[in-house]
Amino acid sequence: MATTTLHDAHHDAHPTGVMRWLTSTNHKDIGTLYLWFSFIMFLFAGGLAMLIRAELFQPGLQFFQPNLFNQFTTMHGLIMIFGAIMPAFVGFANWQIPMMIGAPDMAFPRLNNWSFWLLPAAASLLLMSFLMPGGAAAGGWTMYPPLFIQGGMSYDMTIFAIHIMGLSSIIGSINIITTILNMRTPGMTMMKMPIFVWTWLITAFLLLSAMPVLASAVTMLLTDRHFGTYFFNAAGGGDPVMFQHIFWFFGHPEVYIMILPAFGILSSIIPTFSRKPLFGYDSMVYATAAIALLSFLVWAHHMFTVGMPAASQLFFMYATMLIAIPTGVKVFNWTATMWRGSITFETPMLFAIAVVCLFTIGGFSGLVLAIVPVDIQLQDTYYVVAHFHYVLFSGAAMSIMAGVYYWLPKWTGHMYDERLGKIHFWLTTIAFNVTFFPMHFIGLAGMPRRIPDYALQFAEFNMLQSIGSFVLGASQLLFLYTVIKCIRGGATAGDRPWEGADSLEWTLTSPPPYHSFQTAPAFK
Amino acid sequence: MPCNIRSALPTITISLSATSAYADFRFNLQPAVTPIATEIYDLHNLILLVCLAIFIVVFGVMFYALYKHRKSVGHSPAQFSHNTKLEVVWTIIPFFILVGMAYPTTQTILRMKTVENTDMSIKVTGRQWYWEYEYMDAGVNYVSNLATPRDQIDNKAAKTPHYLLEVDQPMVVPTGKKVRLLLTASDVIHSWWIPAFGVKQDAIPGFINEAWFQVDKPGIYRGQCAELCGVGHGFMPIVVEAKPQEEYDAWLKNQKAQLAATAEAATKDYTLDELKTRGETIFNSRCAACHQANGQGIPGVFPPLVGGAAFANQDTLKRLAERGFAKDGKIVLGPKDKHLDIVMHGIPGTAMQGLGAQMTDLEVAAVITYERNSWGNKTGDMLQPKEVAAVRKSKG
Amino acid sequence: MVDVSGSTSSVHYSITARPNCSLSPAGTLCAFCIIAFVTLAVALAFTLLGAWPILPFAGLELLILWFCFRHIWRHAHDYERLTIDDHKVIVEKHDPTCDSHVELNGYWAAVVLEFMPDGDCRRLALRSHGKEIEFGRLLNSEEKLDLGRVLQSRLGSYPTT
Repeated sequence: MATTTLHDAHHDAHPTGVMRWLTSTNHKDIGTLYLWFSFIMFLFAGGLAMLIRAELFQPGLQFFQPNLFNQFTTMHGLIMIFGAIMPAFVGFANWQIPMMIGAPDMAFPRLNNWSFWLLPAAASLLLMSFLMPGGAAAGGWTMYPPLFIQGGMSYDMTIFAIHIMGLSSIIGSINIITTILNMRTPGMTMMKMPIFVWTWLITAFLLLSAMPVLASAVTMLLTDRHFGTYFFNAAGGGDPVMFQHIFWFFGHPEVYIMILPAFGILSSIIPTFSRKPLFGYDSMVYATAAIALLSFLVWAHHMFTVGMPAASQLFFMYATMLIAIPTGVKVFNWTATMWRGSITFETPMLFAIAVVCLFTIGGFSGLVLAIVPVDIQLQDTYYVVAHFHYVLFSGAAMSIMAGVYYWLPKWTGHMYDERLGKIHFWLTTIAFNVTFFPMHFIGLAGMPRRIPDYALQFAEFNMLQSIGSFVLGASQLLFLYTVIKCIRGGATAGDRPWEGADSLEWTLTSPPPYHSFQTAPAFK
Repeated sequence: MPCNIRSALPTITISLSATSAYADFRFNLQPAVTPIATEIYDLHNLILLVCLAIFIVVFGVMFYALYKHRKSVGHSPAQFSHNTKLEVVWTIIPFFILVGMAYPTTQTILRMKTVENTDMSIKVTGRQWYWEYEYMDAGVNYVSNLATPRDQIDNKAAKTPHYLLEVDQPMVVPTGKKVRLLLTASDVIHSWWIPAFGVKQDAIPGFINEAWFQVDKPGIYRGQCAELCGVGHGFMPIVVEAKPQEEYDAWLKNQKAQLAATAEAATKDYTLDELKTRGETIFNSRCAACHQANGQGIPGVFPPLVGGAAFANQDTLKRLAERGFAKDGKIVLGPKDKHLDIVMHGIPGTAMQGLGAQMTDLEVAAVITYERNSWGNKTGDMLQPKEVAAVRKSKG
Repeated sequence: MVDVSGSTSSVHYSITARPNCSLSPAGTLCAFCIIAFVTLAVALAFTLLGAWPILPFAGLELLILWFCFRHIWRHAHDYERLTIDDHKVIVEKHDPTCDSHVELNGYWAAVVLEFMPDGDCRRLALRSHGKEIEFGRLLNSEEKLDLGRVLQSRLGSYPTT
């Protein structure tokens, strides 16, 4: 690439210090900001999880009163979803999409800056709500009224935080959609885009469809709380169940918003380390689209116990079961990609394999939960907690870790410490399973979720889970250390540190120039 | 465990010894006692086995590839990336497996939803944080509170076997009868759940949901509220006692007699100490979850009942002030009739609900008397059940 | 994207710079319609159920989307063309707000290149009779430098400020 080498000859000019980050419109800087923000939020919300597990270490109330405990569970959920997982994927989108499609930057760099800087504002609202009289919101991340209408000032702060984060997501999605549609290098047709780009295109579409729904749901909560409306208040003719319909109409696409980019990351990593092209590219794209479409038809499977007619239960059950088919196609495709490859087991690949296995367990427990009569038994128990942590921790969060290890050499120009990466992988995977696998059992045995204290027959498993969770939490500090170590130095990574990698970002230097692909690169 | 640690951490050792005594490593659903719960149990096993089989096949293939097709054993990569026939096959096969799962499930759902030919109806009302049962055909109603003493929860006493799963008055049903439940709630959403029955149904304010069960085996069955409903969510268990018909009839008769006795008790006059003693029990089971056993409340959330204690939530204070009732957060030191008004009718928009409908005149009188004469409140005020009855008559 | 016709030495030389747009105006409209359809369908469905506050949010979102797409659409046909024909230099610019066509005399025109302190070529312009016409906003630093060299060889002096 003659242009890039020429370009490297002179230094990039951009503000330095704090102003660089505050005013940056560069997709790489903003990607970095997103990733660090999400990592800080991940550690904070993970800390809340540690406090939850400390209280649940034994039956009885040891450390926290129920009110504080409920604040922890609520904030753990909200911050992990809106502060950790989603921004992390947007961080990947910012870094990778322009480099993968051969674009110089995102389509709207200034909007990009705004969409990031809205997030710290929203996060500080959420964090400050802990200092309000009565503490943070304690009505669960699902914010069901009428309970959510009872709370104090911090509940309003939570609602505003969600508004701001929703606005950030909308701007971010528009940016991503226009970048992908309009800025692909000549020759890169839609069906030649890397799968990661495809999954983000569909994710951004889901975000645009779902976010106004969420915004309206929390707005109606707000007006019910303060302006005398009765959207959800039965006393005034409102309908508390309506909120659940609206919330989950947002909430179920939201689940896929958090997992589709993870599929994209896996579909980048697995072919690389199998040294083989991705099996079934087309069916991968169609499966992603099918999952996205179905996600709008299954929301009420979160509400099988609210008392809906048999016909509705059947419809939502069948639709939910159908999602198993495209999801299965993906797992089969990854397996076929590995089949007769030439596989090596660097840290990103280890994470990717673990994600495929553990996510599939989460998928199966999802299928079990789709079965209405079984769901009636398991709704709001620890089985559900196990299910969505298998999907969101070992699905989404571990994919993020896999992606970080995979692209760190490209981003920093240094190889990460492979030994530390592998230790982090094994600690995370084992501790994760120790923490969450027994939750299936206590859920089946009848332990409800969101309780600060529990009956004695659940004591052994809970203690085991707490021990596992402390190890899981501590091992993420090792992750932090490994990442910082890699940023500060390490073996030089070549332009293409993984021999099987073939998308456009690997044609750039490591680290890539501040302004990459100023002119569209050649694409075969 | 060494002695010094034991003495340093008495609470933890108490609960350790308590827990190990009732170890129960259960891996599957609780044993089913109703036909529906049995079907659910079997359905879950079936689906779990199918999933397990698929998991073993798929990951068998994957781990074979991971083992055999490693670079370190010198496997060179193939370059295929499509196989239409294979892709069609693995799209269609799961579809048929799913149809196979959906068929028995559909039948079970239809049976669950058939609430016909029931023998009796019980109206269940979820409240923050206890259940109220109303036997609609018999005219009996009562509330069912957590019976576990506060000391066990705070690790000050050893935990008994049914810790957190015990109530003062369980729901009682006859065996072999189809019981219809009508579920609703008065404040926020709760969910009535007995795992052994396969019944979990949300109790939603403003709505009435239906559920049914039929137990053939006499026994005591335990469950918990399954929908987050505030600070007491973990502390509102459900206990159902299934008795043979004759025992059930006897229980019902006894229950009616008790109701009559309560009505009579309300006409008597009581001394301050009598009222305080009764009031303490009621306060601890009904009020202490929020206002705490020491009357201090939880700053910012639940107002204190003690003069001079910490601030209350601004919203609450405002509402109290509107009713002429808050003086610097000193809530129960205002006029007696206002106090009665709040206990009877609650404060709209807060967790403080009207308790008038669920408490007898005597209970209301006792708890108010207790509040006005405890934790340093020394008003000497007394409220007789008759006065409550008079207010009830005039205001409803 | 840069199209060049004619070689550096030929009498007729033309260079056209366009932004890289992989989305056609029809495609833009299509993408907008799909998103608008889904968003409005959802919003209307909930409105009919009584949850009308979704409408303003859906509207706001579509408004932002509309402005973004309109921005793309309006700039899809932007181009800058520099033509050297014998002794004439023609600079044409086209964007939604202005359409300019300037002719300079090749004998008098001089190339002006401005650099950032770090060596990035910031601006390329042609100067003649005291007026300057900028060219190459759609080109990057290297392309401006390359074009500068070509123009220098064709147009005489090569002053740098």
